[in-house]
Amino acid sequence: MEPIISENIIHRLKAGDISAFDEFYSVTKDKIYKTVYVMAPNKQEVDEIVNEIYFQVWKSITNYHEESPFNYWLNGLVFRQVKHWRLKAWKRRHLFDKFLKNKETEIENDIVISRDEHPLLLSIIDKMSFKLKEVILLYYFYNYSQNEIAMILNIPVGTVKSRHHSALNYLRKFYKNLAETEWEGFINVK
Amino acid sequence: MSNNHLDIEQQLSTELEVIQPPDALYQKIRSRILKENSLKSKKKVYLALSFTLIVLLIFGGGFVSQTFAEILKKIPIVGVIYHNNNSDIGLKNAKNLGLTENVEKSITSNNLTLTITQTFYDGQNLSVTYRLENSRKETWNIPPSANNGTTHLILDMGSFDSKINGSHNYGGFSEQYDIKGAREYEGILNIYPMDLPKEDHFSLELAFTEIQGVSGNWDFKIPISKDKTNELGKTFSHKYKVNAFGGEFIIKSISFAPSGIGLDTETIMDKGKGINYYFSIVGAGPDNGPSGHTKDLGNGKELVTNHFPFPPMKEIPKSVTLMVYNSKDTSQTVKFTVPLKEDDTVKDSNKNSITTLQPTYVKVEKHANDANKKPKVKPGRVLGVGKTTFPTANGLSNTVVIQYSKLVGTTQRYFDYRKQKMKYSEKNQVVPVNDIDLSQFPQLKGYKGMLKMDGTKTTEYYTLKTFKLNNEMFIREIFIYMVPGSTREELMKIIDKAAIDNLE
Repeated sequence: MEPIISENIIHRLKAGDISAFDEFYSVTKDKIYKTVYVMAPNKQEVDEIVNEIYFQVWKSITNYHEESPFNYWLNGLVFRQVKHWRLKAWKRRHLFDKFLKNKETEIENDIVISRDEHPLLLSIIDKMSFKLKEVILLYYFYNYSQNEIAMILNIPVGTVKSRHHSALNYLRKFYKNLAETEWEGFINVK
Repeated sequence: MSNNHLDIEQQLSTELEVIQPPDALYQKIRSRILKENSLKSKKKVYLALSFTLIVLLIFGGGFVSQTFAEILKKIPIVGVIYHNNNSDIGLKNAKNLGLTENVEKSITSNNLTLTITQTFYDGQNLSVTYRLENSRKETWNIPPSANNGTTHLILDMGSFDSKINGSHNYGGFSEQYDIKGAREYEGILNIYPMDLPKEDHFSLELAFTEIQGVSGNWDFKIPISKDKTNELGKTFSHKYKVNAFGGEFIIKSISFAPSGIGLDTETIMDKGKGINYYFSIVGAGPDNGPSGHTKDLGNGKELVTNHFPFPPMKEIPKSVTLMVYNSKDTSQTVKFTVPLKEDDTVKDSNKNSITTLQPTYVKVEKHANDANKKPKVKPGRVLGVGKTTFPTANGLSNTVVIQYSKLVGTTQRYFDYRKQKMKYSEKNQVVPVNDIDLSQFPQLKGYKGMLKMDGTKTTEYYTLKTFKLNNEMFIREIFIYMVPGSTREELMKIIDKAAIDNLE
């Protein structure tokens, strides 16, 4: 379910009303925090990224013009910020990785398995590429249609479809009975 | 739900149920915004920031001190010379005292001009100061924020390489800077090589290929000289030796410099044992993260060569008391006093002679209640113990996060999880884990992890983050998740098991 942000809140945010920001935070925090949690390669940085996202919302809310739904604008910002963060993190790692490449013989590659032998979905999603993660989250956590995902991520709908397909193929490695029909027949609740 | 069947939407929502923003986060965000507002309203022309962050440490063929957290805590050595109130020497002072060398070399690439302005080197620390001018159309609209606690570094954020005397420099870097205006930054790049050169003069190459997202080539080759600081420092190179714990501990040299003290040591012990022993100088403060190498001597013996950096002392004393301790068992500690004689500062004096000293065994007192309060793991290995609580279907649950480490990279690489099953009885009484003494782990951070919940049924597990380096397994973190019903005894058992299974 998408949090509902009233026009009133948006107008007050644009006017720089901090109490509007309080309201905005309380209705959006869970969704945004969970999204960042899934997307962030390093869970220790989730708080910092969320901090940055809200700061950017505050700073750039005046850039939002009401021709498209506010949630599209917000979600676009959220995913861009995580991506931006990821690139910075990559740069930080770059030298270190270059050096470790020859030294590091092996990285443990086990998956977290819960007690009833059911692989934890989050731990599997965590291993997916950033692009596949985005699509999985927007589709199954935000319940957006593929067309809407294309709008939010600013990519062609065909790309969304192919990423979705790849993500499902990836999941199938861990969930053998993951039937194709199960999500293709999924009704998008908006 | 059958074992292999999955409803992605439901599963995702179930697993994410426990992921909640911490209460404290909003206060941070809110105060950041309010601060931004007040800055706007005061129409400040510029925002002066300075902030240090170690960006990376690269581990060479040797080994680096036990935990990164400890290094991180200690490493801004140059902080001592530039920022730390405990030192009489600040950057301006260093300059005023004539301890820095002027360079003023500028390179412009893609409308970014980087000027290396000065260098500082005293045998213990190496820094260069710079000025960066942006003549591009776009200004950098994200002023690096100290509040954020992140790595918005000016030079270090991009990509660069460094060499000392033509050889690749493995080591760490940190950076501090001020924003001088919308288009001008000034800063200090501190360089912490694994091994500093023995010579008083050497070349430092810095090749930047990206600065603040702008690609280009800023290649500097800068002469580094110790001439300005030579007079202020002294190196005592007479060798002293103590025999203890079945090994030999040798003090090769002690160097005093304006920015710090360097202690060079050798340890000869049975293979694999010597690296556990550390040296400290009584009264000098904690070391800034030692580095070292090992060499197989045959006959089951190993030579460990260490360099320990310490903060500076205001005066060079007549003698120093040194301690040698086992980092894994601090009850093994000896101390001895080394005289610092003027005669020993002459290069190559008494180089081959070695004086044997008698060590005093130090009794390390243990607190009587420790056994009940702390996880039973070997000292020096625990990085932190943390706890978070979050709501579950049937009440509050505790998450215990135990971080252990033999070696931790600074770069927050993410490593994979491993599941270990544990036995767990639901009959036990709920005992909160907050009676673990957390005060001894100031660097602690709480983590949220994944906890699978299925209606009222809860599942506990712990996960490991491990990686292999040089065929040795290192543990970065162990996450232990507990649920209502666990006793402290159980928790301790799990912690012990985790430590023993994975560290031994």
